[in-house]
Amino acid sequence: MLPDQNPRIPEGINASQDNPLVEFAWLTAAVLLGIVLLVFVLSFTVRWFAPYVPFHWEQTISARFESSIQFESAAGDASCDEQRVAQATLENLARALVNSSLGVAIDGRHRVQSVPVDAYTFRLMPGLSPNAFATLGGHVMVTDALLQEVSSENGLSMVLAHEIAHIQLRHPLEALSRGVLLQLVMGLLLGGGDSAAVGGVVNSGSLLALLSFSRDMELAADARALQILRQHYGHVGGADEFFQSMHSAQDAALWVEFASTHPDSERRLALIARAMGEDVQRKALQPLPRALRPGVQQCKRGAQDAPGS
Amino acid sequence: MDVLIQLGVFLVLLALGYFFGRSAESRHYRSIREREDELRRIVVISQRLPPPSLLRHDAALVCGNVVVSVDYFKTVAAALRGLIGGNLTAYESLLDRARREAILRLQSAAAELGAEVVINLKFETSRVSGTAGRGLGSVEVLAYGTALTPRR
Repeated sequence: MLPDQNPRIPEGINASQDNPLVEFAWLTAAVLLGIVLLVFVLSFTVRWFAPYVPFHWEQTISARFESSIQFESAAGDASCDEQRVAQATLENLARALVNSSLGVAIDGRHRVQSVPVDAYTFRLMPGLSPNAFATLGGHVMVTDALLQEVSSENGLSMVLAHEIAHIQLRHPLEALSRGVLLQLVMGLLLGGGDSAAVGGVVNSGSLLALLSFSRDMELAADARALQILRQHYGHVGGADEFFQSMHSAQDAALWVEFASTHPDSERRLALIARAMGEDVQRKALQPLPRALRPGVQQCKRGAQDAPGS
Repeated sequence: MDVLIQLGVFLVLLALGYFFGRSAESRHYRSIREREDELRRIVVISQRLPPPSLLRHDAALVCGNVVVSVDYFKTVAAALRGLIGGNLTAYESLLDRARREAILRLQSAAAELGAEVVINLKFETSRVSGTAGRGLGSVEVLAYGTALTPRR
């Protein structure tokens, strides 16, 4: 027998009536958690093995990027005597700090320094924002704008020691390995296809976790830098100069960027203040070498074009 | 900063996909229910042969065809689901709508012929875009059957 009419289809059997946002929230939370866990496992693995990688391996990798960096800075630095003297002064100060750092054990273990003393290069480079960074292969760059943010040699030494600490703790290698490894694993897990759509969730998850490691590295470098300063000067006075001036400079745009990869400056200042409290003796700060004072290292007008300078 | 912008774009697309997709879906379901009531008198069954009482009716092929596309929100929800496993509920309501809409169109075609019954209902689906994992996917749902019209 045929029915008189089509039956009414009961709702909610073939298609769920639940709010999709609830399911979405669960999925996002689960995937984020998984990715954060993955980043943490990878990061701790990398942190564990990075110090054991021979430094000449790092130099082999960095040689591939170096040609471009050196070309850039060679064009920028030492276009006149003032800059050459400033560069040499900075280098002398930094080398003295490296020598002092040899007396500071890494992570409390008296492991042989894996970075050879002569592997470091130090460069004063032109730049509008006060910045200093350490790159793969033992290169430290300091912008000349940073010199205006410190008022004593101790303040500048803190910045240099911080970058030296990054290199000695093998942070550039650690960051590179972490990035490459993470990309590799994500590529294997997600593939190229439909999962490309989850990029937003995956990116924010891994960024979240990566930033915490970046901040960890900054704090570790700060702690070591303070030890190096104490070894070098006998006290850590003046170490807060750069952070104080960055803290008071209320540059919002710079601030967001700074706050994301770097820890809160309040936290860093607190770390420095604690170290200052532990000083057994307080000594006067060393004045900033004349060649590095603001304005002095800049070429006088017209001097750039002078032949041979 | 770049990452923040990227994330912002992602969230905006997600929100747009959710709100527009959600409102389109509820509008579509409302319209499906109304038309199902209107066309309820045209009986659609999957039985292959005509019942004895309708043996003297004219037979004609009728089709109902729908192409549906998935919104951004559903794509992301499904991709997340793909990492974990389980029911792809995000797509279920979409395909449910497509099937019911296809039957409705088939019923409209049958009504136009003056048919009383559609027998031997079958479905076909095929993927019409979003191949090779690029872009949003679309699916065609085709419902077809034999309309039986009383002989005049």
